[in-house]
Amino acid sequence: MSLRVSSFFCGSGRSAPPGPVPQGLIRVYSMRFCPFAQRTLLVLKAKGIGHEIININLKNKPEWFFTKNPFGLVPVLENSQGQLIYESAITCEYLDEAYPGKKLLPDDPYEKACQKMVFELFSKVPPLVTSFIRRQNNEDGSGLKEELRKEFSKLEEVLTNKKTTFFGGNSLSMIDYLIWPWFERLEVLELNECVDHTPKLKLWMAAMREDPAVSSLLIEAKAFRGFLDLYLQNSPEACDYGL
Amino acid sequence: MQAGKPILYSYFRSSCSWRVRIALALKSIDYETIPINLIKDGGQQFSEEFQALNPMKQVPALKIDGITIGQSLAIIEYLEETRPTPRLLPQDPKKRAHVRMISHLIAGGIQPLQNLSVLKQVGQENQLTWAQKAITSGFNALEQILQSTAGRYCVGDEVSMADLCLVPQVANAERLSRHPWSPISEALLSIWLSPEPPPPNSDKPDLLHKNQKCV
Repeated sequence: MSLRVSSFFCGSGRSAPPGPVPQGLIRVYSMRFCPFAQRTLLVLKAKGIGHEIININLKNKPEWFFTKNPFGLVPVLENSQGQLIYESAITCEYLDEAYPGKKLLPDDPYEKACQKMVFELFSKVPPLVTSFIRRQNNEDGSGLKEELRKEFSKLEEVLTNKKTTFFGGNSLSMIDYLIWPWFERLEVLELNECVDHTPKLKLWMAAMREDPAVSSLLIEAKAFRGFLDLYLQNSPEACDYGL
Repeated sequence: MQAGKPILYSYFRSSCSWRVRIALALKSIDYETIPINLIKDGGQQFSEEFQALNPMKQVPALKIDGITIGQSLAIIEYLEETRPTPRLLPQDPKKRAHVRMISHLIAGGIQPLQNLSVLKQVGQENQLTWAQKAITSGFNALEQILQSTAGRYCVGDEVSMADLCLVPQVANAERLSRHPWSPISEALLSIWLSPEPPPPNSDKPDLLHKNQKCV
Protein backbone atom coordinates (compact mmCIF):
# COMPACT_ATOMS: atom_id res chain seq x y z
CA MET A 1 0.00 0.00 0.00
CA SER A 2 1.40 3.37 -0.92
CA LEU A 3 -0.05 6.82 -0.43
CA ARG A 4 2.31 8.52 -2.84
CA VAL A 5 1.64 11.73 -1.03
CA SER A 6 3.26 14.03 -3.54
CA SER A 7 0.79 12.91 -6.14
CA PHE A 8 -2.09 14.66 -4.42
CA PHE A 9 -0.89 18.18 -4.65
CA CYS A 10 1.67 18.24 -7.47
CA GLY A 11 1.20 17.94 -11.19
CA SER A 12 3.38 14.88 -11.59
CA GLY A 13 2.70 11.45 -10.21
CA ARG A 14 -0.71 9.92 -9.78
CA SER A 15 -3.48 12.41 -10.23
CA ALA A 16 -7.19 11.86 -9.80
CA PRO A 17 -9.14 11.11 -12.97
CA PRO A 18 -10.96 14.09 -14.45
CA GLY A 19 -14.70 14.37 -14.12
CA PRO A 20 -17.28 14.00 -16.87
CA VAL A 21 -17.17 16.21 -19.94
CA PRO A 22 -19.59 19.14 -19.75
CA GLN A 23 -22.52 19.09 -22.16
CA GLY A 24 -21.86 20.87 -25.40
CA LEU A 25 -18.14 20.19 -25.37
CA ILE A 26 -15.91 17.39 -26.47
CA ARG A 27 -12.71 16.70 -24.59
CA VAL A 28 -9.39 15.78 -26.18
CA TYR A 29 -6.56 14.24 -24.22
CA SER A 30 -3.53 15.69 -25.90
CA MET A 31 0.07 16.84 -25.53
CA ARG A 32 1.20 20.22 -26.79
CA PHE A 33 4.02 18.88 -28.95
CA CYS A 34 2.54 15.63 -30.21
CA PRO A 35 2.05 15.55 -34.01
CA PHE A 36 -0.63 12.85 -33.78
CA ALA A 37 -2.68 14.87 -31.30
CA GLN A 38 -2.16 17.91 -33.50
CA ARG A 39 -4.20 16.17 -36.19
CA THR A 40 -7.20 16.10 -33.88
CA LEU A 41 -6.69 19.70 -32.75
CA LEU A 42 -6.51 20.82 -36.39
CA VAL A 43 -9.82 19.20 -37.21
CA LEU A 44 -11.44 20.62 -34.05
CA LYS A 45 -10.24 24.09 -35.06
CA ALA A 46 -11.13 23.71 -38.72
CA LYS A 47 -14.68 22.66 -37.93
CA GLY A 48 -15.14 25.12 -35.08
CA ILE A 49 -15.99 22.37 -32.59
CA GLY A 50 -16.21 23.49 -28.96
CA HIS A 51 -13.67 21.49 -26.99
CA GLU A 52 -11.60 21.31 -23.87
CA ILE A 53 -8.05 20.00 -23.71
CA ILE A 54 -6.39 17.93 -21.04
CA ASN A 55 -2.67 17.59 -21.64
CA ILE A 56 -1.13 14.31 -20.57
CA ASN A 57 2.45 14.04 -19.37
CA LEU A 58 3.63 11.29 -21.69
CA LYS A 59 6.75 10.79 -19.61
CA ASN A 60 4.71 10.26 -16.46
CA LYS A 61 1.28 9.02 -17.45
CA PRO A 62 -1.41 8.94 -14.79
CA GLU A 63 -2.78 5.42 -14.29
CA TRP A 64 -6.33 6.54 -15.02
CA PHE A 65 -5.30 7.52 -18.53
CA PHE A 66 -5.11 3.86 -19.50
CA THR A 67 -8.83 3.64 -18.76
CA LYS A 68 -9.34 6.23 -21.51
CA ASN A 69 -7.11 4.43 -24.02
CA PRO A 70 -5.62 0.99 -23.38
CA PHE A 71 -2.67 2.03 -25.54
CA GLY A 72 -2.03 4.95 -23.19
CA LEU A 73 -1.44 7.23 -26.17
CA VAL A 74 -2.77 10.62 -27.19
CA PRO A 75 -4.94 11.81 -28.81
CA VAL A 76 -8.12 10.46 -27.24
CA LEU A 77 -11.57 12.03 -27.57
CA GLU A 78 -14.14 11.85 -24.79
CA ASN A 79 -17.64 13.24 -25.14
CA SER A 80 -20.27 14.09 -22.54
CA GLN A 81 -21.83 10.64 -22.93
CA GLY A 82 -18.50 9.18 -21.84
CA GLN A 83 -17.74 7.68 -25.25
CA LEU A 84 -14.03 7.36 -25.94
CA ILE A 85 -12.32 7.39 -29.34
CA TYR A 86 -8.60 6.83 -29.87
CA GLU A 87 -6.20 6.54 -32.84
CA SER A 88 -5.63 9.95 -34.39
CA ALA A 89 -7.02 9.24 -37.84
CA ILE A 90 -10.11 7.64 -36.33
CA THR A 91 -10.68 10.66 -34.06
CA CYS A 92 -10.50 12.95 -37.07
CA GLU A 93 -12.96 10.93 -39.11
CA TYR A 94 -15.32 10.72 -36.13
CA LEU A 95 -15.28 14.50 -35.68
CA ASP A 96 -15.95 15.07 -39.36
CA GLU A 97 -18.95 12.74 -39.26
CA ALA A 98 -20.38 13.66 -35.87
CA TYR A 99 -20.27 17.42 -36.24
CA PRO A 100 -21.89 19.73 -38.78
CA GLY A 101 -20.18 22.36 -40.86
CA LYS A 102 -17.62 21.96 -43.59
CA LYS A 103 -16.99 18.31 -44.42
CA LEU A 104 -13.29 17.58 -44.49
CA LEU A 105 -13.68 14.14 -46.01
CA PRO A 106 -15.35 13.95 -49.44
CA ASP A 107 -18.63 12.08 -49.83
CA ASP A 108 -17.64 10.62 -53.16
CA PRO A 109 -16.35 7.08 -52.52
CA TYR A 110 -13.51 7.37 -55.00
CA GLU A 111 -12.33 10.75 -53.69
CA LYS A 112 -12.47 9.43 -50.16
CA ALA A 113 -10.50 6.37 -51.25
CA CYS A 114 -7.89 8.67 -52.86
CA GLN A 115 -7.44 10.52 -49.57
CA LYS A 116 -6.90 7.24 -47.77
CA MET A 117 -4.40 6.14 -50.38
CA VAL A 118 -2.37 9.32 -49.93
CA PHE A 119 -2.51 8.62 -46.21
CA GLU A 120 -0.91 5.26 -46.88
CA LEU A 121 1.71 6.84 -49.17
CA PHE A 122 2.59 9.17 -46.31
CA SER A 123 2.70 6.41 -43.70
CA LYS A 124 6.46 5.83 -43.70
CA VAL A 125 7.18 9.49 -42.87
CA PRO A 126 6.34 9.52 -39.13
CA PRO A 127 8.57 6.53 -38.26
CA LEU A 128 11.39 7.99 -40.40
CA VAL A 129 11.17 11.33 -38.63
CA THR A 130 11.16 9.53 -35.28
CA SER A 131 14.27 7.56 -36.26
CA PHE A 132 15.93 10.77 -37.34
CA ILE A 133 15.14 12.46 -34.03
CA ARG A 134 16.34 9.50 -32.00
CA ARG A 135 19.52 8.91 -33.94
CA GLN A 136 22.74 8.81 -31.97
CA ASN A 137 25.16 11.73 -32.00
CA ASN A 138 27.68 10.03 -34.24
CA GLU A 139 25.18 9.36 -37.01
CA ASP A 140 24.83 12.15 -39.53
CA GLY A 141 21.35 11.08 -40.59
CA SER A 142 22.10 11.30 -44.30
CA GLY A 143 20.69 7.83 -44.89
CA LEU A 144 17.44 8.77 -43.19
CA LYS A 145 17.30 12.06 -45.10
CA GLU A 146 17.59 10.16 -48.35
CA GLU A 147 14.74 7.86 -47.37
CA LEU A 148 12.62 10.87 -46.48
CA ARG A 149 13.34 12.42 -49.87
CA LYS A 150 12.11 9.21 -51.50
CA GLU A 151 8.85 9.30 -49.55
CA PHE A 152 8.37 12.97 -50.34
CA SER A 153 8.83 12.25 -54.04
CA LYS A 154 5.84 9.93 -53.89
CA LEU A 155 3.75 12.75 -52.49
CA GLU A 156 5.12 15.16 -55.10
CA GLU A 157 3.88 12.74 -57.75
CA VAL A 158 0.35 12.87 -56.32
CA LEU A 159 0.31 16.65 -56.57
CA THR A 160 1.78 16.51 -60.07
CA ASN A 161 -0.91 14.09 -61.26
CA LYS A 162 -3.80 15.92 -59.55
CA LYS A 163 -2.61 19.35 -60.66
CA THR A 164 -4.13 20.84 -57.50
CA THR A 165 -2.64 22.84 -54.63
CA PHE A 166 -3.81 20.47 -51.94
CA PHE A 167 -3.88 16.72 -51.67
CA GLY A 168 -7.65 16.50 -51.87
CA GLY A 169 -8.21 19.11 -54.55
CA ASN A 170 -8.07 22.89 -54.70
CA SER A 171 -9.24 23.40 -51.16
CA LEU A 172 -7.75 22.10 -47.98
CA SER A 173 -9.27 18.87 -46.74
CA MET A 174 -8.75 16.07 -44.25
CA ILE A 175 -5.65 14.51 -45.83
CA ASP A 176 -3.80 17.83 -45.69
CA TYR A 177 -4.43 18.18 -41.97
CA LEU A 178 -3.47 14.56 -41.34
CA ILE A 179 -0.01 14.92 -42.84
CA TRP A 180 0.76 18.56 -41.97
CA PRO A 181 2.21 18.15 -38.41
CA TRP A 182 5.33 16.36 -39.69
CA PHE A 183 5.94 18.99 -42.38
CA GLU A 184 5.64 21.70 -39.77
CA ARG A 185 8.50 20.08 -37.87
CA LEU A 186 10.89 19.81 -40.86
CA GLU A 187 12.36 23.26 -40.33
CA VAL A 188 13.14 22.93 -36.62
CA LEU A 189 14.59 19.47 -37.23
CA GLU A 190 16.77 20.87 -40.01
CA LEU A 191 15.19 18.59 -42.58
CA ASN A 192 13.99 21.31 -44.94
CA GLU A 193 16.54 20.20 -47.51
CA CYS A 194 14.47 17.05 -47.99
CA VAL A 195 11.86 19.06 -49.89
CA ASP A 196 14.40 20.83 -52.09
CA HIS A 197 13.60 18.55 -55.02
CA THR A 198 9.84 18.55 -54.49
CA PRO A 199 8.70 22.06 -55.46
CA LYS A 200 4.94 21.36 -55.40
CA LEU A 201 5.27 19.96 -51.92
CA LYS A 202 7.10 23.14 -50.92
CA LEU A 203 4.29 25.26 -52.34
CA TRP A 204 1.76 23.10 -50.50
CA MET A 205 3.63 23.73 -47.23
CA ALA A 206 3.47 27.49 -47.82
CA ALA A 207 -0.24 27.30 -48.64
CA MET A 208 -0.88 25.27 -45.50
CA ARG A 209 0.69 27.95 -43.31
CA GLU A 210 -1.96 30.37 -44.60
CA ASP A 211 -4.77 28.22 -43.26
CA PRO A 212 -6.29 29.66 -40.05
CA ALA A 213 -6.44 26.32 -38.22
CA VAL A 214 -2.83 25.52 -39.14
CA SER A 215 -1.48 28.94 -38.22
CA SER A 216 -3.31 29.04 -34.89
CA LEU A 217 -1.64 25.79 -33.85
CA LEU A 218 1.90 26.49 -35.07
CA ILE A 219 4.47 25.61 -32.45
CA GLU A 220 7.27 28.10 -31.90
CA ALA A 221 10.63 26.61 -32.97
CA LYS A 222 12.41 27.37 -29.68
CA ALA A 223 9.63 25.77 -27.67
CA PHE A 224 9.71 22.64 -29.79
CA ARG A 225 13.48 22.40 -29.52
CA GLY A 226 13.30 22.86 -25.75
CA PHE A 227 10.65 20.16 -25.50
CA LEU A 228 12.58 17.77 -27.74
CA ASP A 229 15.84 18.07 -25.81
CA LEU A 230 14.05 17.25 -22.56
CA TYR A 231 11.93 14.55 -24.16
CA LEU A 232 14.99 12.73 -25.50
CA GLN A 233 16.39 12.76 -21.97
CA ASN A 234 13.09 11.23 -20.75
CA SER A 235 12.54 14.23 -18.53
CA PRO A 236 9.10 14.43 -16.89
CA GLU A 237 9.31 18.20 -17.41
CA ALA A 238 9.42 17.91 -21.20
CA CYS A 239 5.72 18.04 -21.91
CA ASP A 240 5.25 21.26 -19.92
CA TYR A 241 8.20 23.04 -21.54
CA GLY A 242 7.59 26.75 -21.78
CA LEU A 243 4.75 26.85 -19.26
CA MET B 1 -29.64 -1.96 26.59
CA GLN B 2 -32.22 0.57 25.49
CA ALA B 3 -34.78 -0.35 22.87
CA GLY B 4 -34.78 1.54 19.61
CA LYS B 5 -32.15 1.97 16.94
CA PRO B 6 -28.92 3.87 17.55
CA ILE B 7 -28.99 7.45 16.24
CA LEU B 8 -26.01 8.89 14.39
CA TYR B 9 -25.62 12.65 14.16
CA SER B 10 -23.71 13.02 10.95
CA TYR B 11 -22.75 15.36 8.09
CA PHE B 12 -22.33 14.03 4.60
CA ARG B 13 -19.01 15.81 3.99
CA SER B 14 -17.54 15.06 7.42
CA SER B 15 -14.70 12.56 7.19
CA CYS B 16 -15.05 11.87 10.93
CA SER B 17 -18.70 10.94 10.49
CA TRP B 18 -17.70 8.77 7.56
CA ARG B 19 -15.36 6.70 9.77
CA VAL B 20 -18.27 5.83 12.04
CA ARG B 21 -20.60 5.13 9.13
CA ILE B 22 -18.11 2.59 7.81
CA ALA B 23 -17.83 0.93 11.23
CA LEU B 24 -21.61 0.72 11.57
CA ALA B 25 -21.88 -0.74 8.07
CA LEU B 26 -19.10 -3.28 8.58
CA LYS B 27 -20.69 -4.45 11.82
CA SER B 28 -24.14 -4.50 10.19
CA ILE B 29 -25.59 -2.23 12.83
CA ASP B 30 -28.90 -0.71 11.82
CA TYR B 31 -29.22 2.95 12.79
CA GLU B 32 -31.01 6.22 12.10
CA THR B 33 -29.29 9.32 10.88
CA ILE B 34 -30.00 12.84 12.01
CA PRO B 35 -28.17 15.12 9.58
CA ILE B 36 -26.36 18.06 11.10
CA ASN B 37 -25.44 20.50 8.35
CA LEU B 38 -22.26 22.25 9.41
CA ILE B 39 -22.81 25.16 7.06
CA LYS B 40 -26.54 25.77 6.71
CA ASP B 41 -28.27 28.17 9.08
CA GLY B 42 -24.90 29.32 10.35
CA GLY B 43 -24.03 25.73 11.23
CA GLN B 44 -26.61 23.44 12.80
CA GLN B 45 -23.96 22.15 15.22
CA PHE B 46 -24.33 25.44 17.08
CA SER B 47 -27.99 24.90 17.92
CA GLU B 48 -28.79 24.69 21.62
CA GLU B 49 -30.25 21.28 21.09
CA PHE B 50 -27.10 19.88 19.55
CA GLN B 51 -24.78 21.62 22.02
CA ALA B 52 -26.62 19.86 24.83
CA LEU B 53 -25.96 16.58 23.08
CA ASN B 54 -22.31 17.26 22.24
CA PRO B 55 -20.71 20.26 23.95
CA MET B 56 -17.83 20.08 21.49
CA LYS B 57 -20.35 21.05 18.78
CA GLN B 58 -18.92 18.49 16.36
CA VAL B 59 -20.09 15.50 14.41
CA PRO B 60 -20.21 12.56 14.69
CA ALA B 61 -22.14 11.81 17.83
CA LEU B 62 -23.82 8.47 18.43
CA LYS B 63 -26.77 7.84 20.74
CA ILE B 64 -26.60 4.15 21.58
CA ASP B 65 -27.56 1.86 24.43
CA GLY B 66 -28.80 4.77 26.54
CA ILE B 67 -25.66 6.91 26.27
CA THR B 68 -24.34 9.54 23.85
CA ILE B 69 -20.77 9.29 22.64
CA GLY B 70 -18.77 11.91 20.73
CA GLN B 71 -15.29 11.54 19.15
CA SER B 72 -15.24 9.08 16.26
CA LEU B 73 -12.52 6.78 17.62
CA ALA B 74 -14.23 6.48 21.01
CA ILE B 75 -17.42 5.57 19.19
CA ILE B 76 -15.66 2.98 17.08
CA GLU B 77 -13.95 1.39 20.08
CA TYR B 78 -17.30 1.22 21.93
CA LEU B 79 -18.84 -0.52 18.93
CA GLU B 80 -15.86 -2.88 18.86
CA GLU B 81 -16.30 -3.79 22.52
CA THR B 82 -20.04 -4.27 22.37
CA ARG B 83 -20.44 -5.69 18.86
CA PRO B 84 -17.12 -7.49 18.44
CA THR B 85 -17.63 -9.03 14.99
CA PRO B 86 -16.22 -8.46 12.53
CA ARG B 87 -13.25 -7.14 14.45
CA LEU B 88 -11.83 -3.72 13.72
CA LEU B 89 -8.92 -3.97 16.12
CA PRO B 90 -6.47 -6.88 15.93
CA GLN B 91 -6.04 -9.24 18.85
CA ASP B 92 -2.28 -8.90 18.99
CA PRO B 93 -1.39 -5.95 21.27
CA LYS B 94 1.43 -4.73 19.04
CA LYS B 95 -0.75 -4.73 15.94
CA ARG B 96 -3.49 -3.07 17.95
CA ALA B 97 -1.02 -0.37 18.96
CA HIS B 98 -0.16 0.19 15.29
CA VAL B 99 -3.83 0.48 14.37
CA ARG B 100 -4.36 3.03 17.12
CA MET B 101 -1.21 4.91 16.15
CA ILE B 102 -2.32 5.29 12.56
CA SER B 103 -5.89 6.14 13.55
CA HIS B 104 -4.78 8.84 15.95
CA LEU B 105 -2.23 10.19 13.51
CA ILE B 106 -5.09 10.86 11.14
CA ALA B 107 -7.85 11.72 13.59
CA GLY B 108 -5.65 13.85 15.83
CA GLY B 109 -2.74 14.88 13.65
CA ILE B 110 -4.23 15.56 10.24
CA GLN B 111 -7.97 16.02 10.12
CA PRO B 112 -8.34 18.63 12.88
CA LEU B 113 -5.77 20.81 11.16
CA GLN B 114 -7.82 20.93 7.99
CA ASN B 115 -11.37 20.85 9.25
CA LEU B 116 -14.00 23.48 8.55
CA SER B 117 -13.66 25.57 11.69
CA VAL B 118 -9.88 25.79 11.42
CA LEU B 119 -9.97 26.72 7.75
CA LYS B 120 -12.45 29.47 8.53
CA GLN B 121 -10.03 30.95 11.01
CA VAL B 122 -7.04 30.68 8.71
CA GLY B 123 -8.61 33.01 6.18
CA GLN B 124 -9.69 32.46 2.62
CA GLU B 125 -6.38 33.16 0.84
CA ASN B 126 -4.49 30.73 3.05
CA GLN B 127 -6.99 27.91 3.26
CA LEU B 128 -5.89 25.68 0.43
CA THR B 129 -2.19 25.90 1.20
CA TRP B 130 -2.79 25.36 4.91
CA ALA B 131 -4.97 22.32 4.37
CA GLN B 132 -2.60 20.82 1.82
CA LYS B 133 0.36 21.28 4.16
CA ALA B 134 -1.44 19.51 7.00
CA ILE B 135 -2.34 16.60 4.80
CA THR B 136 1.02 16.37 3.06
CA SER B 137 3.06 16.23 6.23
CA GLY B 138 0.67 13.69 7.78
CA PHE B 139 0.68 11.53 4.68
CA ASN B 140 4.48 11.69 4.45
CA ALA B 141 4.67 10.25 7.96
CA LEU B 142 2.02 7.67 7.18
CA GLU B 143 3.82 6.59 4.03
CA GLN B 144 6.83 5.68 6.12
CA ILE B 145 4.80 3.92 8.81
CA LEU B 146 2.78 1.91 6.32
CA GLN B 147 5.95 0.52 4.80
CA SER B 148 6.43 -1.57 7.91
CA THR B 149 2.85 -2.15 9.04
CA ALA B 150 0.89 -2.69 5.86
CA GLY B 151 -0.11 -5.91 4.20
CA ARG B 152 -3.26 -5.68 2.10
CA TYR B 153 -4.53 -3.04 4.51
CA CYS B 154 -2.95 -0.48 6.79
CA VAL B 155 -1.98 -3.07 9.38
CA GLY B 156 -1.56 -6.59 8.10
CA ASP B 157 -4.15 -8.21 5.93
CA GLU B 158 -7.36 -7.30 7.72
CA VAL B 159 -9.45 -4.15 7.66
CA SER B 160 -9.06 -2.18 10.86
CA MET B 161 -9.96 1.14 12.41
CA ALA B 162 -6.87 2.56 10.71
CA ASP B 163 -8.35 1.92 7.28
CA LEU B 164 -11.62 3.50 8.38
CA CYS B 165 -9.66 6.65 9.15
CA LEU B 166 -7.51 6.58 6.04
CA VAL B 167 -10.18 6.29 3.38
CA PRO B 168 -12.09 9.45 4.33
CA GLN B 169 -8.82 11.33 4.77
CA VAL B 170 -7.75 10.39 1.25
CA ALA B 171 -11.10 11.66 0.02
CA ASN B 172 -10.41 14.96 1.78
CA ALA B 173 -7.00 15.11 0.14
CA GLU B 174 -8.51 14.57 -3.28
CA ARG B 175 -11.12 17.22 -2.68
CA LEU B 176 -8.47 19.68 -1.60
CA SER B 177 -5.91 18.89 -4.25
CA ARG B 178 -5.17 21.44 -6.89
CA HIS B 179 -5.94 19.48 -9.99
CA PRO B 180 -3.95 21.18 -12.72
CA TRP B 181 -6.71 20.61 -15.19
CA SER B 182 -9.38 21.98 -12.98
CA PRO B 183 -9.16 25.67 -12.25
CA ILE B 184 -12.34 25.24 -10.24
CA SER B 185 -10.72 23.45 -7.28
CA GLU B 186 -10.51 26.76 -5.43
CA ALA B 187 -14.04 27.59 -6.44
CA LEU B 188 -15.07 24.20 -5.09
CA LEU B 189 -13.34 24.95 -1.81
CA SER B 190 -15.25 28.19 -1.48
CA ILE B 191 -18.51 26.38 -2.21
CA TRP B 192 -17.57 23.84 0.44
CA LEU B 193 -17.14 26.64 2.92
CA SER B 194 -20.09 28.73 1.82
CA PRO B 195 -23.51 28.32 3.43
CA GLU B 196 -25.29 29.49 0.33
CA PRO B 197 -25.34 27.99 -3.12
CA PRO B 198 -23.34 30.08 -5.62
CA PRO B 199 -25.30 32.86 -7.35
CA PRO B 200 -26.88 31.72 -10.65
CA ASN B 201 -24.77 33.81 -13.00
CA SER B 202 -21.36 33.23 -11.47
CA ASP B 203 -18.51 33.05 -13.96
CA LYS B 204 -17.87 29.71 -15.55
CA PRO B 205 -14.28 28.55 -15.28
CA ASP B 206 -12.18 29.13 -18.38
CA LEU B 207 -12.38 26.39 -20.92
CA LEU B 208 -9.31 24.21 -20.74
CA HIS B 209 -7.15 25.37 -23.59
CA LYS B 210 -4.10 23.93 -25.26
CA ASN B 211 -1.58 25.67 -23.00
CA GLN B 212 -2.58 23.84 -19.83
CA LYS B 213 -0.01 22.10 -17.71
CA CYS B 214 -0.05 18.32 -18.00
CA VAL B 215 -1.93 16.19 -15.55
